[in-house]
Formats: sequence, C-alpha cells, structure tokens
Amino acid sequence: MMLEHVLIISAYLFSIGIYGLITSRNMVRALMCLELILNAVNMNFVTFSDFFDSRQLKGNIFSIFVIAIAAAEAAIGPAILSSIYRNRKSTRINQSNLLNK
Amino acid sequence: MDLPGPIHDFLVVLLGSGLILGSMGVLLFNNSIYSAFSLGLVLVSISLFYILANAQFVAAAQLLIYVGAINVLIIFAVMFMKGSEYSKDFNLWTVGNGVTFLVCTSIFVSLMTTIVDTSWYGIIWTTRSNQILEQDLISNSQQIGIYLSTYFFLPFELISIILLAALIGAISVARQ
Repeated sequence: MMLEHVLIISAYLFSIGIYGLITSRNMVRALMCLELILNAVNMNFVTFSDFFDSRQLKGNIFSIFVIAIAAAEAAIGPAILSSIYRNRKSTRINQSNLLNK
Repeated sequence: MDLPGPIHDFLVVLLGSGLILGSMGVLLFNNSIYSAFSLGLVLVSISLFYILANAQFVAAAQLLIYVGAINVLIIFAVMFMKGSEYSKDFNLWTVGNGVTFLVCTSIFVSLMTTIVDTSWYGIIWTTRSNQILEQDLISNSQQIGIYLSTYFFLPFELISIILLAALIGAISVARQ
C-alpha cells in the first residue's frame, strides 16, 4: 500500500469531518463528523506505525487509546443530546441555550 | 498483509472509494438515519484498511467498538428524535458555509501538497536500517498485550478510570 494514498485519504476524511462539524445544524450529525475526525487520526497512527515502526507497534497502542476516548465521547454525547432534547424538544445546535434560564 | 500486487491495489481502490463516498454521504444525506448508516460503511472500510496495514488487533477493536457500539448508539440517538425536523435543516447555504468550505479546502490542499512534497522513502530507509532485525516469533496481538501490561500500564489504568467516569456521568445525565 502506498503511504501517500492513505495519508491523502485520511486528510480528506479530516477536512470533511471539520466541515461537517462546523456547518451541521443537527447535533447528531456533528457527533458523526467528530467520529470521522477521530478515525482520520487513527488511520494516520496505524499507517505510520506500519511503515516506520513495525517492530514496536506503538502507533497501534496509541490508536487503541484514541478508540477508548472516542467510546467515552460517544457515551457522553447522546446523553447530553437526550437531556437537551427532553428540555427543548429540538436538537438544533443554534437553539441549545439551556444555560440562560 | 502480504497479498499479491493486483489484488492489493484493487482492495485499496475499492476501500478508498467506499470511504470517500461514505464520508460524502455522512454530510450530504437529507435523512439522518441514512448518514448514520453511511458512517457505518466508512467505519467498516477503515477497519478493512487496518487489516491491510498489518494491524489486525486494531481492526478487530475498530469493528467491535466503533461499528458495534458507537454506531449503534448514534443510530439510537437518531431514532430517539422525531423525524420531522430533519427536512428543514437543509438547503440553507449561508455565508458561513462558504467560508468553512474555503477553509477546509485550503486545509486539504495544504496537507496534500505537504504529503506529496515530503520524501517518505528516505525516512523509511533511515528508520528501517536503525531497527534491530530480530525475528518476531510472537504475533502482533501478543506484542500489544505485552506493551499494554508493561510500558503502557499507567495510561491503560488511566483510560479505564476515564471510561468509568464517562459512563457514570452519561448515566446520571441521561437519567435525570
């Protein structure tokens, strides 16, 4: 596998994720784009670990840590989302002003 | 994984096209449930990429955690909302979207020029020559387990504490 191709694909995923994270008005879609960003970072870790550090496997271990952090984030995100939805009946990002009550 | 050349290239092209189309689908589908399923397609193809990059343990962890847990949780969160508010979210091309599109395109182009300009193969040969050429009799998964229980023991415990705190916090926020 060519190294540059995978790096370009992960750069593409990263920029798509940032675009969706900034412009999406639905909060669930913002969470999905955040997952895309974390996956792009993970792809870079695994690919560099395969090409440069194939004996030590430290990139693999670090990507496992990133996956665990993403699992924690994906547990917190829908919990906050369901709490906001219960209070506001909406999941639009620009209407979530719960703190000014 | 050591596959013969044409099969390897075919798999890379197939997985890359699935990844590109799936990530476009995450953004562009009108209905959120479709974009959640195309996020699942992206995650599965990334996991197959990991198998091609000799990282079987990370591929299995990706398939179990991302597709099995996170994507299911996101689909649950999509199904939790009512479906009437999805249709009015779209076709709102504002100035901020254009500015964000320009910024993201410039990030992508600058990253791509950096990637293309860097001479990776020189770095590969200098790092490969420094490594000790020991015969690895144990597999990658065993090596990851050894590293997690020796060198990375403290981060491993800290990550379990973070997961525990996040799960308790999620339950107490969602329960109310």
